[in-house]
Amino acid sequence: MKPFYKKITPFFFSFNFIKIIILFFFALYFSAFSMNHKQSENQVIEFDVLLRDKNSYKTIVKKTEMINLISRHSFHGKYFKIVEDKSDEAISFQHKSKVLIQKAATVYYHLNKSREFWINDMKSSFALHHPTITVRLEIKNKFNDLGQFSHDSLSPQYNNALSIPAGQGPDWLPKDERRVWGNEIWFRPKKMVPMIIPSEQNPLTQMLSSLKKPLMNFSLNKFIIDVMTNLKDKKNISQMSRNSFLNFVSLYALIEFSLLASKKSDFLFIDKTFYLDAAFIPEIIYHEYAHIVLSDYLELSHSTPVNEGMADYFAAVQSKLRKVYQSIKGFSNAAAKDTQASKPYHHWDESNENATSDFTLSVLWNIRHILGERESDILVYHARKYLRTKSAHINDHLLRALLQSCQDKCQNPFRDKLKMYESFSEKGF
Amino acid sequence: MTKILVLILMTLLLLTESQASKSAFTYQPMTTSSQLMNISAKILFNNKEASSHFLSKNDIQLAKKWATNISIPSENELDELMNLFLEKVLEDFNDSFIKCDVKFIHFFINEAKERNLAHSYTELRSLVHYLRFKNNIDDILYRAIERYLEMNEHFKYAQKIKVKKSSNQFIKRLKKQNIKIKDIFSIFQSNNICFFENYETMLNRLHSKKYQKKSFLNKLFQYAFSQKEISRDIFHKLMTLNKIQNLKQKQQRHIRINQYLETLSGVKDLYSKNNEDMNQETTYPNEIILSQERISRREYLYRKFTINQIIILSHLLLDTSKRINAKNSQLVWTYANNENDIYIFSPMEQYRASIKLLRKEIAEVRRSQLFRYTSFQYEDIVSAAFETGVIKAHEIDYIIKFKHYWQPQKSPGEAYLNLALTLTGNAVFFLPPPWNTIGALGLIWGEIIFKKKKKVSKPEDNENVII
Repeated sequence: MKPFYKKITPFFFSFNFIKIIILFFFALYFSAFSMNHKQSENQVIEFDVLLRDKNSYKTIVKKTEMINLISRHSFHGKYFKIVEDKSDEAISFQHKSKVLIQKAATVYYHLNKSREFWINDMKSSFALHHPTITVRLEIKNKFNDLGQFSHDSLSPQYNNALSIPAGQGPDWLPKDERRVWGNEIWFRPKKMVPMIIPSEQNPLTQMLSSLKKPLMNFSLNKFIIDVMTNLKDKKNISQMSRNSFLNFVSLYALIEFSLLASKKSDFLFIDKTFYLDAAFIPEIIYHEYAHIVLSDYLELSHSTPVNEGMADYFAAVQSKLRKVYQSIKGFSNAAAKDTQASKPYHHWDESNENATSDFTLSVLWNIRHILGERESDILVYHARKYLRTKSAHINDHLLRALLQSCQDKCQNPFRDKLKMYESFSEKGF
Repeated sequence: MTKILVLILMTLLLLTESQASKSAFTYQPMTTSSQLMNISAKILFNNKEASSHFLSKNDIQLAKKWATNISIPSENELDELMNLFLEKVLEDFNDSFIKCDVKFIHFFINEAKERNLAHSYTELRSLVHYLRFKNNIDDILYRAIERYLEMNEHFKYAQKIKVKKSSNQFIKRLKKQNIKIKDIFSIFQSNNICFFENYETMLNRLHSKKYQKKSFLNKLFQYAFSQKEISRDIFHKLMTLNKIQNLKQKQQRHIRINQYLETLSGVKDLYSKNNEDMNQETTYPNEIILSQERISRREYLYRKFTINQIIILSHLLLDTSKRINAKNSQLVWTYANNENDIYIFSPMEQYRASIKLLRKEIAEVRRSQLFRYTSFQYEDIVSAAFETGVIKAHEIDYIIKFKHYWQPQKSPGEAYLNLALTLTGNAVFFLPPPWNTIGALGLIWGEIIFKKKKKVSKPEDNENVII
């Protein structure tokens, strides 16, 4: 009789046993994999995002969930796709540049937040049904309405952000070569640009310049009086006159030296370089998305004081701060816009060159003080129906649109319009 | 010195106010025709006066007490009863041939008795308080009814007065001052029903204040009665009134109920689609503008202006509001070759043009025949517009400011500050150095601290507008 081990050994070395073993390990591997996969499907995707600290200008970096994502590997969401430069592929979570990932996360987070504002607060059906918006980061090309991107070497753009209208290539191009694009938001890369500092503009130089003449006149007059006194008394030039002369000369030298030194201290008051990494500024993100949402009536053709002012307004509403686009160290040293700017109307405010001033923003913001926040937001949003980008002047079209909007939306139209007239009058219209 | 100056100022003020009050009112003769427009209790309902100046807390308590004593269980039923009561009074008054205040009070008292609402003077007063408390009537009617009820009560309990023979001295005085009894008391001969109207006419005929004094009037009434110019009943009433009224009260001219009802039915909420609920936002119509007589802006309007005048005044603001709300407005130059050059106004130009046109139209209305002997201010226009329903209560505060376009106003604080700075600035000149320098620096500092830093924008600074 064979021992037991001799009986079972052939089984272990048989092919069937080996098959069983292989199948077992295979099953083990797949079950483990599927468990992992399930876990990763439920896992919240979070990234570091740059935010303004609650109701302040300070910024913080906070780990925040990326909502509404379609892909679990890239910034491709239901409503926004964040891409790099001219690519059509969303930026991967595994991208080699951590800064770019943070930028993409920041833009993605704020855009989704802004979308919720437009849908929940403003009840914008245009925002609700808008197809996915491609958001380009680090893009330097100028916009071209025939081919979307101008040539790479043609005037690269920095320190800016813009919204571009949907379009397609010309009809004479074959269909497969004809590029089609939707409304997009482009964020330019940051670049340190040297500032052209106008001479004698810093406050110290200005103060010294204004003091120079009266001080010199005072000293000179004293010297002349002393000399004339000596001459009158028929005395030789006295010690007092010599002292006066020395005082005059030394004062002159001191003032000139101080003026020269003050010009070198421009750096204390004015930045030497200008830079703006627009994708990291939350209000700029809100501003650009506002352009898209308002584009059902205010087409995205060019910047005008009215459409820029309206976008600034909604950026300020969402940021809940008095000054928008406040600088962030390392990302922006651009000047902020003040919602309560007190500058009165000047006809130059109608010029497209002044489209980025804060005058229109202050006009719209004043309405909040007189009608209330919610009513004002509804009124300004509704006013876009009476505006077109091509024919929108502040003095005429914007005011008329706001008044017409009040006629439609205000509870007491005549009274509220009278309040608005008073407000416009204070702004210098 | 200052006391004398203050005294002189106060005297001047009093004089001007009394002159104003006299000249403000034109006595409206009572109408004998049944031309009173169809007036219902609904029009009497107060939806203009936010609060009452004359109804005290005590009066309200009396009114509530009276309401509980009336055997009507629910408040709604009582309100309905009040409406019916007023309707009947108005109907009777409307049907009456002679419409004077006595008649109205007579119908009021009779109806209250028939409906068992009030039998005594106290109950009648409580009834009137209740009507005012529930806003069935406004302050103007409330005040008038209260006054006549009180006088009626005095007449009831007037004691028989001994008739004294007039002295020769008094008769000589009358002859010397050319006071003819027949002319003064003739009004009582022609119509002896409308006592209160006739009384005021009689007082008007005695122009001078010295003839309205109690002692003089006593003798005058005695003499008139002895000469049979007035009946015994009228004599007693006149003597009673003379006793209870002081000189100031004699000089007051009251709004006639008939005049008031007639004007009310012609103008109230004429341009308002449906009666608005009383809006508490403004006390503008209820502001007392003649403090001596405690006359509100609203009462002043009804006293001074006729139906047509109120309508014309309210039209000024009606047209202005239409222009402000217009879709657009434009300026058109038509050349000799019939070409048109059109300038379209911006919204602010349209607004300013509307207000400037209002000012122009005010001047035109002032020159018109209808207002030849009646002056008016911008505040009267606003009152008229509010009364006719052209403007609503919450719009008044902004419409009042239209006036600032041609009469810019400074706040009292600003005015005092300017005065102080001007006086100090002048005084600094006379100070010896170095105090004048210190004073000048102090003035500069004061101006920087206290004067408004905000620059006031003017339309003239805007190169993009023409108005």
